[in-house]
Amino acid sequence: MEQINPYSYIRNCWYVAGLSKEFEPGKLTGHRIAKRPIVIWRTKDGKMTALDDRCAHKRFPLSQGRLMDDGRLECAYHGLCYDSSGKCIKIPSQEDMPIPPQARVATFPIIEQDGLVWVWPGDPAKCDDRKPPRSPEVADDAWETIDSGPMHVPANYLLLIENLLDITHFYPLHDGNIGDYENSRIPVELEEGEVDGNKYVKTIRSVKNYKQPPYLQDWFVYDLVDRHHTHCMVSPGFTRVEMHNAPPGKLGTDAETGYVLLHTHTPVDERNHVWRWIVNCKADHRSKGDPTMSTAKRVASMFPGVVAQDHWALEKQQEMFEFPDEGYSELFLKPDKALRRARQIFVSMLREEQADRARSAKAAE
Amino acid sequence: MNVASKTEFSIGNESAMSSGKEKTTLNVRVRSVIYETDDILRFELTALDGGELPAFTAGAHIDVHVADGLTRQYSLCGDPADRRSYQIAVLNERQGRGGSKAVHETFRAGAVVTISTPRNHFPLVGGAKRHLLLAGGIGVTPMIAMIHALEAGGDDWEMHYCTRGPEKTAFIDRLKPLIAAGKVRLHHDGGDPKKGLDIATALAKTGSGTHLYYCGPGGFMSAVAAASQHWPAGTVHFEYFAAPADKPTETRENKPFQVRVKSTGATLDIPADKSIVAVLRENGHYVDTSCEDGYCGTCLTRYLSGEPEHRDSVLDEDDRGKYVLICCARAKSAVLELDI
Repeated sequence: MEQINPYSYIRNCWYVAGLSKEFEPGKLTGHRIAKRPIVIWRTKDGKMTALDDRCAHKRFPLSQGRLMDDGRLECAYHGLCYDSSGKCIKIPSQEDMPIPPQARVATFPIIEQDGLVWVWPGDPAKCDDRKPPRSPEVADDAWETIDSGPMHVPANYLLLIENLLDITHFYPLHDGNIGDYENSRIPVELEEGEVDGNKYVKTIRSVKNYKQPPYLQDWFVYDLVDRHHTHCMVSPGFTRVEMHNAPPGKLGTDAETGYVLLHTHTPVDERNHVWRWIVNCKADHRSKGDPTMSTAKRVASMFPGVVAQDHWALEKQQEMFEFPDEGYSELFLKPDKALRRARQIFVSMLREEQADRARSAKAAE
Repeated sequence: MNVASKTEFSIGNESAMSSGKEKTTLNVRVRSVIYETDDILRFELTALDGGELPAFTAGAHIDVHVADGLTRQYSLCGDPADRRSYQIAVLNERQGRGGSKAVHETFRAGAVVTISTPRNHFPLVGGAKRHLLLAGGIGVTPMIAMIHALEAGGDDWEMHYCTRGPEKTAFIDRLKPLIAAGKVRLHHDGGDPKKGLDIATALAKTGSGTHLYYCGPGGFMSAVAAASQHWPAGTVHFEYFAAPADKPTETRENKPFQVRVKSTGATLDIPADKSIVAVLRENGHYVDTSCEDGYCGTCLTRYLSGEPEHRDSVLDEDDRGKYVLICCARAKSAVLELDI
């Protein structure tokens, strides 16, 4: 049996191309998702469209072209025009000839939901097998939502997922801001399941009478708390983090503070991904560090420093993948269970895709 | 020397053996067989074309294909700087399950044997201030490679080597000058551990920046583990070559059992000489593994009913209530149901 390298990219998955607000009507945007070049835009009537970002003629990126008033996309190189179904409807150099049926580009399934735009770079026939994860807080006015915008990370996206699922790296990587030594010692529970066709892995860290690290005191008011902290890889493209803090005995009451921190991780290729964090806090919550500031704004102002540390770690980690193992093998520690399960989910999805490819290759013979 | 807890575990499926991405196999020739003691032979293995072998670091081991369906792991005890040969030393374990006996009886000079490329689960820590090595009996084998590396690197080190008596002490030629230099100390107990090295006293002081490495038989491993509990986290390194002493040997014997696969409802027979992973693969299930040694966690699997006989070296009691590493585990119950 051939071994499958989990540090690859899955195609049959919904990935975030951006927040809804990033797609102004009539503006072309170029994306690279799971090694597919994709041009995405919102039409004037609000509909999302995703096409192969290569003109059928000379591979020129269509995202460099322009949208005409009648909605057609004109390639900036030789002026071929496409409608939103990917069909070429004009070839300026041979207007007197019929347009060949090969003059079209592929379309990609695209869904706008809960303030996010999701694209399926895989087999379109399979896009109904899984649904994009929900993110109700992003679209709900009771929550204030702030996002990082796209961050390019030169590392495989599974490395980010592993980073998010294993917060024992908070010491030493985030020592003094969101982490401390005690944080690394909170016991971890693991939950697994499947929602909307997406297999998930969730870590749960519950702790009582816990002294919060500096940043969390600043953001979530209390020094000493009962805390319920979960990290869930909802799908290979999406991780949901929830933190609930309250003075001892008050979890589940109005005294509760915290956030829903969403991470989108969209693979570019094996070695690169686009990471976005989206922090959601109750709109009426204020931070302790700056009571004039909403909690979401306070978190968003301080979080980039934490993210820069992770970014650094992921980039360095990726560099070490360039060397052959030659006797090297990774140590497995108790908190790594969730990571191993996440890897297994990746491997099983990759294996499924490999089997699909083998089947279609056989059918083509 | 057999390493880790796989002494009693053989892998019946050759393709399973060669599937790990780092576990490429190669054929080598037994160039010489050296008599170390009356029950320890050392084998020098060279490439068939006499050229260089894949590099290894001190502490590494190789899988050795002993006979059909019988694979054993032995530490490399030669000089890591020597790319032209691998050395292994094998104790003829009369209580064992036949692997070492077969090596002693069938590996003759000139024979071609199949081995894996080296893997290291017991490496030296770079940059440590000082290294303290504790060897019990045949557990000395990885230490011999370590000594080569430490001497070459000009490191500060010391070794205690515990054996029953001079006639059971391997590598004596190599060690003589180091004994004279005060770096290696021999301890003979004549069969009574109380008369040998006082392990607790030897490990009482941790010494700042000192890393401890130990390998030996079960009783020795337990004694060193108990005596090194106060050492700082990350400074104690060890490798088992037999079942931990607190486990009765009868439970380590491979008995047949069945595995039920939740997704298909199929019940599969796991014979004594095959691993769960090997049988799953024969039946078309994909199982990813890397170390196949109960070590890396790649094959971590949830079980739903039955009682596993855990043989990994990484899961704690908590985890063992839910998970099992199926590359090496067997079952105490007649049926083990897996969530795959």
